[in-house]
Amino acid sequence: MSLYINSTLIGASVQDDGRPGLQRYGVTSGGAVDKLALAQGRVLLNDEGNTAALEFSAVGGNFKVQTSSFFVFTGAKALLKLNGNFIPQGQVFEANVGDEIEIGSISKGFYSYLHVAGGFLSTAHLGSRSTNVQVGLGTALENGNILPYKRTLHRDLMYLKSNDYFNSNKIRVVSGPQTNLFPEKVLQRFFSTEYKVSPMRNRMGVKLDFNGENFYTDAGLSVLSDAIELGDIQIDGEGTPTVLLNDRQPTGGYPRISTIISADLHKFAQKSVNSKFNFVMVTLKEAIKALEELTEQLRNLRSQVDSLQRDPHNISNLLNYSLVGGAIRGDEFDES
Amino acid sequence: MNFNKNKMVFPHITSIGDSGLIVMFGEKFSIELNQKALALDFEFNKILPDGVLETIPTLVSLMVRFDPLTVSYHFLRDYMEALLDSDLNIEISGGRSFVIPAVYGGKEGPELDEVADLMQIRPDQVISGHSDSKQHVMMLGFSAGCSYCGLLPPIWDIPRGKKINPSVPGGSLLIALRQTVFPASNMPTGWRRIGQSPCLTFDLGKDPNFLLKPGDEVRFEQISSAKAQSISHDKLWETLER
Repeated sequence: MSLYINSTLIGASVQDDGRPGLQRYGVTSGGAVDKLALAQGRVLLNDEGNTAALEFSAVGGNFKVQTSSFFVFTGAKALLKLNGNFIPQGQVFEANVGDEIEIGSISKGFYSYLHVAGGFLSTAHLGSRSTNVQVGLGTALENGNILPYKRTLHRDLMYLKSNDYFNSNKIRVVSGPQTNLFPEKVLQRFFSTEYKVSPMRNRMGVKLDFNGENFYTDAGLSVLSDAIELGDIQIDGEGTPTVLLNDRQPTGGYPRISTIISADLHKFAQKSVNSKFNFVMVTLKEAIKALEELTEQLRNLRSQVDSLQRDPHNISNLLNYSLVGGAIRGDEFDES
Repeated sequence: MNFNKNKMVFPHITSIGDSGLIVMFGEKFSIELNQKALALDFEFNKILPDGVLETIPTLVSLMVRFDPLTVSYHFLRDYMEALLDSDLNIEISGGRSFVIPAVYGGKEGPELDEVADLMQIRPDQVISGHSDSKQHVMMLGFSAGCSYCGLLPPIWDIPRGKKINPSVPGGSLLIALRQTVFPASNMPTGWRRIGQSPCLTFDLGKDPNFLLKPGDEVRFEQISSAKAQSISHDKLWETLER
């Protein structure tokens, strides 16, 4: 009842919606970094509830199917093969015992997700299957591990075209309690500086590279530890910014210059290493409007999926029917 | 861009991100301000407005996370202001009392002598002074179940160490700034380690998973290294509340 991991995995972990509500006990919510890609997989597989997917960053992996089920791959762009045949992202496919799933290196974006019908059923801790190795919730995945899931006999072979949201050059932020600890000139410079996503990144945070003076604040050096919010942009003792993500520490004493809005978190997290962008300050009202739009987009996912074939049982040789054309690059359905 | 540079008046309420509100009681730490933050947390949690997802009390502030599509920041700010205008009873913050066993000095507390030197007292006075002090759990932070306890008397106002110890075990008693940091799992630290408790305050096998909450009172009680090794963690939590 499982998927056998047949390669070394780097930066891959099981993730669901995480465990919100425990930050007062020192545990941040964790969970999938790209909520949109997680939601797309659930809609495509017609799963309700807090199902868990396998989140990849940068590199893919090889898997052997030990139980028949339906899968779909969403998020950052990478080549997906079933027994050597390409399958487009966003396309539900059936895999049977003995089949091999291969996921190549990520070519666009940073986090991708392999979903299975009903979700992966690794052990839940504190109400979530999300892995956070640093705090001992779940374990790092290794070659030879198995990821359990239940056998599924039927799912429609749905397809969803996903827009490219992997290279936003404007990331919107709102001000926070420590914004005003920075001198006005430093703030002006912060918002006129172009940033580059550095290779120093993981699920805890993303360090940013930039040219020019660092962002100093004398007042910010004596900030008392308080709660860190998802998307906070922390300015460390050297004056360099780090965006704090899902597996961030719960509290911190470095000042936070502003916070990425909820609607742009997945767009920021999906940016490739070395990709450039600016921060743009918006009002709380604009941030809420953007969140309403994202929520509406998530709500509408179900009406956007297409069925390639409603009844796969009536088609012999199904996988050759239209899923596996032979010469699919994997990005034919992307919007350019 | 126009950034407001007005001097803050406390308690100060502001937004954090688009789904958070924070009430700050001051810029400098004091036990009174910590108790105000914990009292507000206690009062606010009695009847949570719709849309509130969680509250996070820290040293001198309270953060509220909410769904902004269900409840607005402005509604919650007004709600908080009304609560702050009422008399908060800082004695009633729902705290419980625990006596937690700990081994001081030796391999369990390798920096006991260094702390004694900094405090200009003898190591046995450090032990008795620490184990005689009732401390409050002022916040949980850094990692799961890691408790910031204090305040110890003013003589304990020693700085953090300059070098970072890459890993101390869960249960360590770490000292600086009149506080005891009491982690539940391995952590890197610059704080000085004077002792070690066999009690880990975060346990995935227990329900609830966390022994201590912000607002609880703790006192550490000296035990021998041999006694600590004989303590079974299975039933330990149930025996500690007073």
